Amino acid sequence: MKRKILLTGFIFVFTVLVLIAALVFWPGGTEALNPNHTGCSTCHSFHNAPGQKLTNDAVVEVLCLSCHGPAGISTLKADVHKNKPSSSYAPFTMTCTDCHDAHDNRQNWLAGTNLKQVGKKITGSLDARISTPNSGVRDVVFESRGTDAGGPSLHSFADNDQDGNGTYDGACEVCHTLAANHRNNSSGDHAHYTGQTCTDCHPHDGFFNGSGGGCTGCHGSPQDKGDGPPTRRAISGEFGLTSHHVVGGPVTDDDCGVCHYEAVDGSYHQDNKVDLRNPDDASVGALISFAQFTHTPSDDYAGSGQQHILDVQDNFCMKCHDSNGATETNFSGNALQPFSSNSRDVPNVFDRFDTANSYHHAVPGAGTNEYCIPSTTNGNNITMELPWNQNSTHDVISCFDCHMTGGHGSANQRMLRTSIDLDGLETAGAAADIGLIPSSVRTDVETFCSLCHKSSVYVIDSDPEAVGSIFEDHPGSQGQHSAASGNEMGCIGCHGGIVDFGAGLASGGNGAARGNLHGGSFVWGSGTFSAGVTTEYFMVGGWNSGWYTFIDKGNPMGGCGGGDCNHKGRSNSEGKSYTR
Amino acid sequence: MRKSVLLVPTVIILIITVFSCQSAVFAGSGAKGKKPGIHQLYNPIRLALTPEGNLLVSDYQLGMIVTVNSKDLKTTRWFPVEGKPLGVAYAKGHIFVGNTSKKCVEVYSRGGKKLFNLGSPTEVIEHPTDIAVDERENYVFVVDGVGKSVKMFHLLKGDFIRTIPASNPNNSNLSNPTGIAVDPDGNEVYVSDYGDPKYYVKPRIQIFDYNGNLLDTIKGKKGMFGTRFSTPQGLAVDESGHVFMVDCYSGEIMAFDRYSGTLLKTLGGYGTDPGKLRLPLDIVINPKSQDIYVTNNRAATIEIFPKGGQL
Repeated sequence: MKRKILLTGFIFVFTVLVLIAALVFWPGGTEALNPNHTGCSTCHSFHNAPGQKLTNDAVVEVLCLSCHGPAGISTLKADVHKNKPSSSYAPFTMTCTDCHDAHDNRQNWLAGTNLKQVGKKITGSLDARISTPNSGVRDVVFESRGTDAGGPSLHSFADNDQDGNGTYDGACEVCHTLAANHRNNSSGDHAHYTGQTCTDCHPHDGFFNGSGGGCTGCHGSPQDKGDGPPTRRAISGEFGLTSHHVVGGPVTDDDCGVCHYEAVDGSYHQDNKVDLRNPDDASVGALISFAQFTHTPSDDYAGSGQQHILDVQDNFCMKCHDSNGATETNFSGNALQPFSSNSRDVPNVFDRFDTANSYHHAVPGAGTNEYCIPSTTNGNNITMELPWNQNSTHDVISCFDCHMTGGHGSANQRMLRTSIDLDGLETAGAAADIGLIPSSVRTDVETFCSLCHKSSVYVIDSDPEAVGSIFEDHPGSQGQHSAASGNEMGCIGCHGGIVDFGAGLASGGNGAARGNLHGGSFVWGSGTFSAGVTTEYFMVGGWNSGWYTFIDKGNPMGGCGGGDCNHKGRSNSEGKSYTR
Repeated sequence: MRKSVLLVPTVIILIITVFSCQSAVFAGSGAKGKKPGIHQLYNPIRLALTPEGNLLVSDYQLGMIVTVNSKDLKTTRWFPVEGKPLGVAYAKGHIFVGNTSKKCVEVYSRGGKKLFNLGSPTEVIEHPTDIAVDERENYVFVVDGVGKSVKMFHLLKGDFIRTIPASNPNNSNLSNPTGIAVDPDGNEVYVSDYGDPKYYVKPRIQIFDYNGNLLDTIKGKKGMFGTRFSTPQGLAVDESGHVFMVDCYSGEIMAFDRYSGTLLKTLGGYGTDPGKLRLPLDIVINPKSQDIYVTNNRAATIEIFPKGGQL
């Protein structure tokens, strides 16, 4: 009898406890449970409940993610909302119950019913609300907008006040006051991918970080909050410029990973740095990071600035532009054509480099280039623009003295710092019979050379002997050397080497014949005049070399024969030579 | 009488509370690197042990397989996966990665060079949540969480062999599988299974032979209402045949006797203190040291339980 009474009492108390618990944990108890959760026991266990019995949000988070986390059994993958460690903002975490009612969907303030259990009962109202970090408790609406908003699957992640009630109450925007787009007020950009679901690019299982669209998915358009460093650069379009690293097709996410460490390791993304990787070594030890990278002729390359440039050149550019290309790649291309769309091998520039490079252009370190280091004896400083030859700390020439720093693309061919129609020359050079080199090109070449070489010295119309280079002042019948005065030669007349126009130079492999302005040595071909010609100072590849046989039909140079065109060196008693 | 009626449930609740608050046996040591040189884990999921004693960790958010030194728990190298990696295993110089974005298992060299795929396009693995290998028999076993099955492949050839279980009416033999381990000595496959509340299938560990026949079950349920585990994830089998499992909700590591299903040992438990775990998802045992390693997902660390494998 006593046992029966005890048992009856136990059952009664147990039932009461269960009812109390149901009221506590399920205060809005009129709504039905999410049918996918198949009842209370999916999450709750009356006895021997695992874990900490849902005593706080952190435990609930683990409970939710035990099914909705990456390794859980639900196909609706999710994670909390937090920023990346590299974010410029203070760390935050919005856990599951900050946005979701653990039990069921709630009615929203517009009398609709929210989806995905977004919104909770807060501060008395039965309507779905969210306690926001900076804007207090706000109503939230997360319901299907149907075809009116562009599709039945489109939910009100970012309401953008589409319902015209003057309230930004979408599930994402209801909290945002600092984000660039879709804030909970009219400020910021509300046109950011309207009509698209936020989680397409900011996936729920990726902490809502912007990653779902991949590199090109996001970097197709710019984003800048305007309140600090620029947040996102639009780069896809840069590959559509005149010259670019990926040719023959659009840039892909794989292409980004050839050069950028961010594409290899996402944690380096959005760290306010450009993180380049050594294309011969994908490890983090080969990482090259910099916050900014600018280069103008007036820059002072003293100290770390020059070293920084050389780091990029030697550990990035030259690791790919060598004989074996990008050897460490898991991406679409191969070593010599590392990008997804390429038709040419990587030009081998590295092999042209030598500290004893007599061509005086790019060298891999301080070398014999007398135009870099000022000297009281060489007297060359008058021929160069700053900082060349006038700043003792700027003793090397780098890629970026001639090429743009924006590796994605440039409006200038070959990514040169000024525009020259070299493609046109190359195309013309392939033809059997072409006309004169356009004067505009000669002018462009001079402009380009004048970035470093003083045009006031080299490009002159009168007798130059008093100031700089040993240009013979041709009489009008022979044309002058200066393009500005109608000269048919210009810099390019004697100093070839910018390109192998006819693609006839002996190749050293993977395009070594091209871009011979980088330096190196050449095999002289037929039709050249070797007498009196030196390979120094790029006195090759121009009219003198014979490679430029097409330049002026009908022997335009008159009696001037190729490399012997240095009148002063050959026939003039003054005996000038090419030394400047 | 009234006092007795109230006292009984109160005592029961107190007993439950006391037993659910087990203290840590071994302190954990987290691997949370800082760049440069040491990589910070972000969302570690599964683990594998290499012959050199290094740990391979799949990081879902980073989209990478990260190598962690098992002694100091520092990351040493990593390689990217094109997609979201889940399961990871190592065998005969190859790294097997379950790529849930591509619905297949990708096979990489030790250096991270992709070699070939298992599963796609001939045998789609919708959600390759965990992988186990039998190097002796050259088999790879892949849990397909969505397909509610285990796919068996030839380790070297990559050929699909069969689906486990051999028979699965109404998903009764395998409802919601997550983790996997194999016992090469017994030619047995162990699969953790959340069960299915809809059909009153309780959480369990299912044991199959290589032909897909169900041999045994280690139940997560205890008594009428009791629960030993509710969300079983990663599994490991030691050289004596004992079964180790992590329950991701409770944060506990449990060791069971293979045949009796007896709970032999419990480690960890939910919490942020040393030795406690938040959403542990996988476990490996170093057979030489008997150390246990666990992915502690919420803390984004690898935890070590020195000699935790000793029973």
